[in-house]
Amino acid sequence: MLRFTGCCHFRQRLLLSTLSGKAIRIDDIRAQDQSPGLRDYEASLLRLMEKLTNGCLVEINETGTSLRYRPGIIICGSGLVHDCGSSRSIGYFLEVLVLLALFAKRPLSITLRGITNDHVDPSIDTWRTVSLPLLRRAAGLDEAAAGSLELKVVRRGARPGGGGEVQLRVPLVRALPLVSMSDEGMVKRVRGIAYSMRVPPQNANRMVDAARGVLNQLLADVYIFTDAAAGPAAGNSPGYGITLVAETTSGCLISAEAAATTGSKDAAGSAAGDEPLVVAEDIGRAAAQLLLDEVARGGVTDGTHQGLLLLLAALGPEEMNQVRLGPLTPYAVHTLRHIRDFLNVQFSMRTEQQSGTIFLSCIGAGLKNINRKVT
Amino acid sequence: MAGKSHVKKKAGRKATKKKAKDVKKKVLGSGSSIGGGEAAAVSGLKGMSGGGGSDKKAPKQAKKAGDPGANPRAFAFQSAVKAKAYQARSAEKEQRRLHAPMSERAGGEPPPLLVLVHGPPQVGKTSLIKGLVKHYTKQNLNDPRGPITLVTGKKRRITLLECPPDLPGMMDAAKVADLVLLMIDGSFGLEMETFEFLNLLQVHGFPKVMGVLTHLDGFKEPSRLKKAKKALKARFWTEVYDGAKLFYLSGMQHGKYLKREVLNLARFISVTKTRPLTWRLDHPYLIADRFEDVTPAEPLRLNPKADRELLLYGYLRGAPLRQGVRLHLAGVGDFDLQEVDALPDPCPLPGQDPGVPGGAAAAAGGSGSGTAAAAATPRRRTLSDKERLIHAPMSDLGGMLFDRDAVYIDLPDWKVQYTSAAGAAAAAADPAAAAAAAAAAAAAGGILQEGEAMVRQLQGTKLAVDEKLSRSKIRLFSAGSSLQGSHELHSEDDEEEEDDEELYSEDEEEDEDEEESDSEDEQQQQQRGGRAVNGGRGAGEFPDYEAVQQDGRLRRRAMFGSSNNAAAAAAAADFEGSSDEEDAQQQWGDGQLQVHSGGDSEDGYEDDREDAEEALGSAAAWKAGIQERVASLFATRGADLAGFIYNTRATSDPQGLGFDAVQQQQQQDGDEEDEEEDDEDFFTLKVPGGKSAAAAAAISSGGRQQQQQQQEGPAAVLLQSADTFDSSRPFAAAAAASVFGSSSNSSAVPQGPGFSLLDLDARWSGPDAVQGLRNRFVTGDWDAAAARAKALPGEGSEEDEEVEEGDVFGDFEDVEAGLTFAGGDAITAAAQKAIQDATAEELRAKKLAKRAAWDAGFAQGGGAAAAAAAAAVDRGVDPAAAAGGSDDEDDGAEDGEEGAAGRPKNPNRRAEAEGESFYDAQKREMAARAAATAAALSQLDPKTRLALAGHAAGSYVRIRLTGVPCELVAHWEPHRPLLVGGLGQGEQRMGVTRLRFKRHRWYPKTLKTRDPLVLSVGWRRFQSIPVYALEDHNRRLRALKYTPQHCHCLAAVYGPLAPPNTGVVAIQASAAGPCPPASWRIAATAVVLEQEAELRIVKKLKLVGTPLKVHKHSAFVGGMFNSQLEASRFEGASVQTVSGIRGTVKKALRAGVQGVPDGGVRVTFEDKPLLSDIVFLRAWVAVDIPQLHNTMTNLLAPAVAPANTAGVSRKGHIKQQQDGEEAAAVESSSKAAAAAAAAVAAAAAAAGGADFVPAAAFAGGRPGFVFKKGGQGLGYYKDLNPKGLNPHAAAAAAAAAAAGLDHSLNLAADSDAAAAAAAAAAGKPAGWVGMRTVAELRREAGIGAPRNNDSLYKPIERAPRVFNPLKVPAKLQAALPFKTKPKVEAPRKRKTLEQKRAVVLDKDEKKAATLLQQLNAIRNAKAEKRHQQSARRREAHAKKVAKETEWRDKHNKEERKQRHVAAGKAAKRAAMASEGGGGKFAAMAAKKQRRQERQ
Repeated sequence: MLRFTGCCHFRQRLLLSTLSGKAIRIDDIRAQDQSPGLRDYEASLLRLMEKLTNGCLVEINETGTSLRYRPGIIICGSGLVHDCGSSRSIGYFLEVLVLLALFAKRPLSITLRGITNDHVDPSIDTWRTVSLPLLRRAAGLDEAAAGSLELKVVRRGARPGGGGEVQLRVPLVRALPLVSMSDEGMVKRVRGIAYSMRVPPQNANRMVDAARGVLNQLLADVYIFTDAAAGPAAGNSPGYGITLVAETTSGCLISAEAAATTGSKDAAGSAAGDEPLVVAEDIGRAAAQLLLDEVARGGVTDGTHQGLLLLLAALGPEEMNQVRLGPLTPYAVHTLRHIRDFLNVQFSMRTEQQSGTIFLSCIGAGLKNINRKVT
Repeated sequence: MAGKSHVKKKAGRKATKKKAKDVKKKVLGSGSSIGGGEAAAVSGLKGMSGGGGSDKKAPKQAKKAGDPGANPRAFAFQSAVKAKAYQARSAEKEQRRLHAPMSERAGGEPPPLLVLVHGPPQVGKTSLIKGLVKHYTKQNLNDPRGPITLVTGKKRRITLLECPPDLPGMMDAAKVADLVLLMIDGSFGLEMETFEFLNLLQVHGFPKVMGVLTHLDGFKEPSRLKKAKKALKARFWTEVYDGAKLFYLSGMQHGKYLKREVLNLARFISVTKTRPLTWRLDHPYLIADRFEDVTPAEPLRLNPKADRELLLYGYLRGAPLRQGVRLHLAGVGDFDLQEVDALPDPCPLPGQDPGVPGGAAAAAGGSGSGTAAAAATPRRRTLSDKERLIHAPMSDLGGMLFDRDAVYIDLPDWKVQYTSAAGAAAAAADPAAAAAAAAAAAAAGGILQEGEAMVRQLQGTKLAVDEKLSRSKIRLFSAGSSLQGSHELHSEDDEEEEDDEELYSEDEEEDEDEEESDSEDEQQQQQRGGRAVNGGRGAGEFPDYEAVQQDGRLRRRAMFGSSNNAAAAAAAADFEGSSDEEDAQQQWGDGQLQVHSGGDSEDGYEDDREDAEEALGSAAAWKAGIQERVASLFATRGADLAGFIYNTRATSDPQGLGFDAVQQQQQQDGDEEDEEEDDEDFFTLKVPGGKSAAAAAAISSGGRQQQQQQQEGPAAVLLQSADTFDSSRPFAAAAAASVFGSSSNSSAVPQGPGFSLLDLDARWSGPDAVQGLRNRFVTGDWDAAAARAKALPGEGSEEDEEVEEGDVFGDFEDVEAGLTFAGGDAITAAAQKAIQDATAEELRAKKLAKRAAWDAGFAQGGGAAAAAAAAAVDRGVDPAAAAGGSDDEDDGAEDGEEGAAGRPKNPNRRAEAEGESFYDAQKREMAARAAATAAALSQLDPKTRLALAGHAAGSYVRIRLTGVPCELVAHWEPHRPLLVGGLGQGEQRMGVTRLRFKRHRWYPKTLKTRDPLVLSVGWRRFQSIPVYALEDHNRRLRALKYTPQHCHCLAAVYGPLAPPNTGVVAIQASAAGPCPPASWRIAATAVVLEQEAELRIVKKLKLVGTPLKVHKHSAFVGGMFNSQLEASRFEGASVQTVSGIRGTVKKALRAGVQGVPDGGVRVTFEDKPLLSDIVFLRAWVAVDIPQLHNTMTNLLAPAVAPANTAGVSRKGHIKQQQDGEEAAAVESSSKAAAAAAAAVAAAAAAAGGADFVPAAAFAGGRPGFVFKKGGQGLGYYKDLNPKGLNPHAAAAAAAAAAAGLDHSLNLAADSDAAAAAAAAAAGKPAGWVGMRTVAELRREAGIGAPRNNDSLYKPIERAPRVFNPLKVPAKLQAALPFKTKPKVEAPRKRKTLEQKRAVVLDKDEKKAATLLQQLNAIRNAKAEKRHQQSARRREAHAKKVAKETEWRDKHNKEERKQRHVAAGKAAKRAAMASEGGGGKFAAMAAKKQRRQERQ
């Protein structure tokens, strides 16, 4: 049994525990906090795990500050529904769900309800345009099977009301293929989606204009779609934001996004130096500048997807998997540590000084889908 | 030819032959009908295929015509049909050769080929091993035990292993063997063991099998021998495959197999190729060839049964072994891998450095140059005697046997000159009297020289000098009491001794090193294998010894400190020297955690590396303190990225392994703060964060990112705090962290976006900022982008770094550890020089190789090939392989192990030539990937490589395990191989496995559901309780009570999970036990289909009820359920009446409603049911799968000598003197038990005149009887147990009670003895005891199967059905028409008129009546007469027929024949008797006589 303290990277611990079959115990979850213990979204995640697996054991103490989790067998299946609540967006759950479902007994088809776009987690648009293509590429899903990994947005939902709904389908894999991505390429085009819910559709156009204003200095091929949701497809709360994806000559996707945040300006926010974003132009410009940040970071993927890509490499075959990443985010560093603890896989890191990128290579764990039934 | 990448390309005579054949085939294949020489072609073919055919001329012709150079057209096919058939056949052969390609791991040296010698007892296994060892190494092994590793050729090592006789041992052996020598007693024929083992092999992956026939000298007649060989070969072929090699060992000479035959066998072994087996490729495993118990003495002293700490040594096989993996010890259990180190190879191949593979080999200056020198010398074809190494730590190599706690030196009788009787007598006598005795002897026999007498006296000494000293008394003053040898003096002595020990061990290590490099004579070589075993101790130290007379020869047991607990404890208490033990102690002290005071670059692997160095001996001594030095030097330097990331281990395992200094430091800091704060204000919230942000700087090691610097503060918080916000979006996380840093509400959802607009604008508003990114876009400079894409870490940048470092620190790099050190003392400088030399040498060699490869490539395939070959060298692979890859182009693809580098290039070209098949493409791709991985790994420094890939197969490793049950050590037997297998993904989990299960067709019994079975799955063997089932068409799993006869079924088994497609063997516990049944032992075989948390297996349930009250379409039904609660579970269930009316359960009723009893339900039907109907509820009820499993811990039980070999002296390595007491205990208790058993048997016999005691009902168990219903009715029948176990049952119980008493004693030996006694009493030797089947339990208790009286068959008694008379009311009758009116009349009281009246006949009427009467009388009389007549006739006829039949029977042919045979036999016997064995002539005479008689 592996022991951890604190609530950080709770998702990843659950995910890796389930994939590797090792039981975990987490103590001191927000033990020093005003409201100690697990949050509602974490509880929701645990419920989701129980839904997807068979025979898992979850034990939480009275205060919710320690958790014992013994993973079960990943089942998944179709016709599932999960309400993700309104404290974290659907992207938070997808990060666990997608990897887990690749190694399940039956293909997953699930309806998730909750927040689709916010400023905290990767939004649905990022998932649809960047994460899933990355997964398709890394999981070796060819043209025929690529369609079976899909995310359909039924209706959008913004913070705080939520009310969004997406449908996710994930196929099964036997094992992951070799991950070898070291060519960044040059950005050849930028695409994006500017969405708005329950606000005038002009907001979307304003965001597009602002973003183009930044990006057109470098590239003419910038095309940003607008999606102004209205009526039942717009969820319960107003909101708007923009997701930008830069596509490189080597097929890498680098994304950045920004969304309108609530106007409540508390002391903490101002202390950190970031004020709430409400002006559409600001959002568009910020997103474009963040995209420039990500391009400047280098590597075959952006900061948001570093952890995912590293996980895919670590779960890959027992050959030399290699990825080239920009400076690692704290999330990626934690991911590396967890990979070492759960899968006994270590990465070798070599820095390329000129570009400031890191070549990470590992001998994968060779994870196979042992849950599948043979006949 | 395309398949078998694992098969090495053939070289030598056979290969050339094959090549020739292939060439010919091609010619033939392309053949079209070309006229001429048809007959010659046909005869030529015949000659080739037939070999030594019947036609003597044919081979000659073949030879002449077989030369393809002569006339290739002559071999063309003339007939299209024939050509087609040939083509089809070759295509089929080709297809059959294809296997699913498996990726091979390109490693260094492969592990030794594991050759398993298997056979039934007494077949000659040990002799064969001895013979092979003698053949390969020219050394004698008296008692081969455990794995024996030998160097058998330039590139080949084998490990010989004898298969243990018991089934669990066979299972383990079948899982690891690469080549099996199946030994068969030719004089006896095949035995069950052989078939059982073949079956095990089939399930666990079929390795190569070779048969060896022995005991062929028993055949006197050559024809019978030939026949026997033929029959055995036929049978062997059907079992293995057609054409499997069966080897004949014709006999023994002087107790050994013939030299020539062993040589031949060795040749066959040396050309064997291994098959890649999936399970073994996926899992690391090793067979322990050395076993050490390194438990600290103190806890052992406190509790002799404390868990042990073990060191296991062996060659790693299969997949690479990574740190942190979990291991399974077959027959023991699961353990965490505490530590694994690569050790120098004890049995390296010639020309190979015994260095740590992938580790620190070339460090010592001497060894590198030594290798180079060796490479320079011309290569020999054979092994020199020096290179014929053997590694057999458990065997008595060179007369030394290393036991767990002692070393035995075997002195053969002829080497020992015994002293004469007188001398012996003198020695035997008290030493005080020895002189006198010697004098007496001198007087009696001859004159003893003074020196001889002294020696004799010394021989007689019983006590060592120090003991003597301690016992000696000295009286200082005549009046004073005598003083004994003082304690102080004694202890001083001890200390001195310890110091000596240390010195010696150090010396010894140095010695070993010298030995490895220097050439020594054979005698020393002999000892080398044994020496390696000895580890710390060896030749330098002269041990105490104890002379033991055993088996008629003198053995002197060397005694070491470790054999004595107290001494060891004392040594450990003030121990300072060996860090190994120190570590061990620290590990043992659970709470203590190692705190490294060094610096920031230490990690968990440091300990491991240190240990490895220690094992290297003095060669690595110079590096001993280097870590500290380096740490101090590098303290100021920024930590490297990997170091930073993996430095803080997120987990803290209880052993404190890899617990990190930094983290601990932080914790301590935190604790201190806590304490301070605790004192001041308990209720204030603690605000984390604000910790040092310096570490976070390393994240942005790439360096030039502004926003990264801006994020530094939050990043530090994110990395170090345990409660950070969980988001993969960097800015959101940063925002949360900043919130987190300033407020108490940790990991709250951030309100802001996580970045400041001002910052962003500041960064990107300037035109330069944006234009700086220009080259990352397609609008920028493509060349710059290409340069960026091509830039690889390592070359340019690292060189720069090194230059920089060189300025600061002085430039040299430890090749092993990948660390750069500053030069300092003389040792370091020397080492530095040595390393540089080695590197230069390596470079030079590489350059040479490259040139050679280029030359070779150019000669063969022109410039491109040459370049490819050279490139292969560049990538760090064997250039020979690359060269070989290019030259085998035309002889097919049988170039399996050729080296990965040759592959990708070679098939490419072939693809160009003739269109590549999918199979080839797959193989090429796999090989290319494997090569790329190998190349990438070879670029890394060894430490990183180890962290990435783990220890590769083929390295000799030491594994440390803790928490091993003490019984493993107590019952350790080298004859039982210890298999250590690594557990793969998800194999630690428990759950229900779904198996496709089939009872073995030779197993005599049907298997019953829920009877425990021992399953062998993966590495594991465990007992579990299966539930059998069959799948219905709607995928319902329907439970079965018994396994079906001739088809598969499903079995659900709870236990540790195994991946799908794993093979499973099931046996019953009794078959694995000490006295297995004589019949076939393997109960079933299976394969894993699926793993599940739970499985729903159902059986039919039929509930019956009756309507209590019927309304229109609904009824209240009772009698179906027992309570309302129970009934409520079935609401909505569908029911049916016997008459076929369907319905639904609507509601469970309260008791008393409508007068319905508890458990009643309201049911609605589709039609009105009758009150007399019966209502059925048919349902499926889940059968629970017992969640029980029991690891088969047979290695924790005392070893069992198989019944038929128990008495054989060569088997048992019985330590008589040590086990004397135990043996005595066993003997006495077994005597007692035997007496008890005899008493029981007598009682049973007394009672047992009757085999059956009738009883109407079961009235308690009766010993020796079983209650059942049999031929004589219900009652107690005598138990006719084939095994005859039952008479011992009572005795077993008694003995078990005795054992229970003995368990209170604390010593392991005693309880062993008790267990042994119990076992002996039970009529079976000691061993692992598993769950028993229900039948066995019942037999033991003396009860039969439970019987439900309702289920018994009884004669059916049906009462005749009485119907009530039909009553039609009078009113109705009156209304009915006459036709339908009942015609039944009431009985009359008075007679009717017709009855009453009298009839008077008149005359005529009277006359007529009389006439009629007379006529009737006449007719009757006639009929009577006729009847009698016919009866008479029938009687006569029957008589006649009977007579005829009698006559016929007499002359029946069959009978006649039998009679004659009998008569003939009698006559023969008579003749024999009369003539005293008169022989053939007499019989013939008798025959003739008989014939005459007949005539």
